Amino acid sequence: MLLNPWMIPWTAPFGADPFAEFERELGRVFQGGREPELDVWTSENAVRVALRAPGYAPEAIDVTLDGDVLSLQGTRTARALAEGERWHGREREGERFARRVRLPFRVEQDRIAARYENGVLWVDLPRAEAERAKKITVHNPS
Amino acid sequence: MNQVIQRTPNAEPREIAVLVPRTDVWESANAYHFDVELPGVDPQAISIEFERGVLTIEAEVKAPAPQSSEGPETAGAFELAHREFTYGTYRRAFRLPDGVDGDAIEAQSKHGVLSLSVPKKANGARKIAVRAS
Repeated sequence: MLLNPWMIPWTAPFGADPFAEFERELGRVFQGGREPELDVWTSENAVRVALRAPGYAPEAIDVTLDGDVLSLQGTRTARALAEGERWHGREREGERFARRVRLPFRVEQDRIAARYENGVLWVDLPRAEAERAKKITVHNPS
Repeated sequence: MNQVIQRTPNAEPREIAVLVPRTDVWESANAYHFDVELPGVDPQAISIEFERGVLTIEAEVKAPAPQSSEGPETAGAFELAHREFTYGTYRRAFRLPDGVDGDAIEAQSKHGVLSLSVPKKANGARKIAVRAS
């Protein structure tokens, strides 16, 4: 597991390392299957999460935010063979997945965007307006 | 790691990860069926070949460039904070028994899963359709 907190300079002023927590919360839940791989990108004002979970129906995927924890869950029905059919190899696993990510900052809940494309779930989370850096104009009173 | 990762045997300077896609294979009365997991692959970019009884599936999965597809909501360059994906080429070959019709393979891709059906030839003989005149 690789995290690069030094790549996110805005974490520094807050003292504690939010990514230590972030890493712990990249929790993996095993429920009769493997956990899908997850990538996370951050920018100054957004987090982007990508999860590889092929073969799920978009309506069977749940994206939920509870405080600063993003939960990604999905369920699917494994293929059942009909009478007279037989397996030669079975490698696809899991009828469900669940992964959680603790976000490094608060996000705008109403503007979270999720899409499922070619078996990859993408979630974009914009940083809460109140937490964004503000540029302060310096006035010269003279 | 969920995939078996191999380096290309010939020592090329660039690193190409060969990803073995997880596949379910089953047989019905009329065909052999494959469900191949290819997450992140554009269906147009999947190569399927059948030659001398060997079915080969190949597809490249590229690392996305998230900074190239952003709107005002997410302005600012994205930096990778956590990576579990491996990028490279999915490649898998299956040797099929005699008596399959390689010209009638059906392929369909949905939600990152490629489904293939390779029909069996009836009694190994070529079936000739008689058209009504």
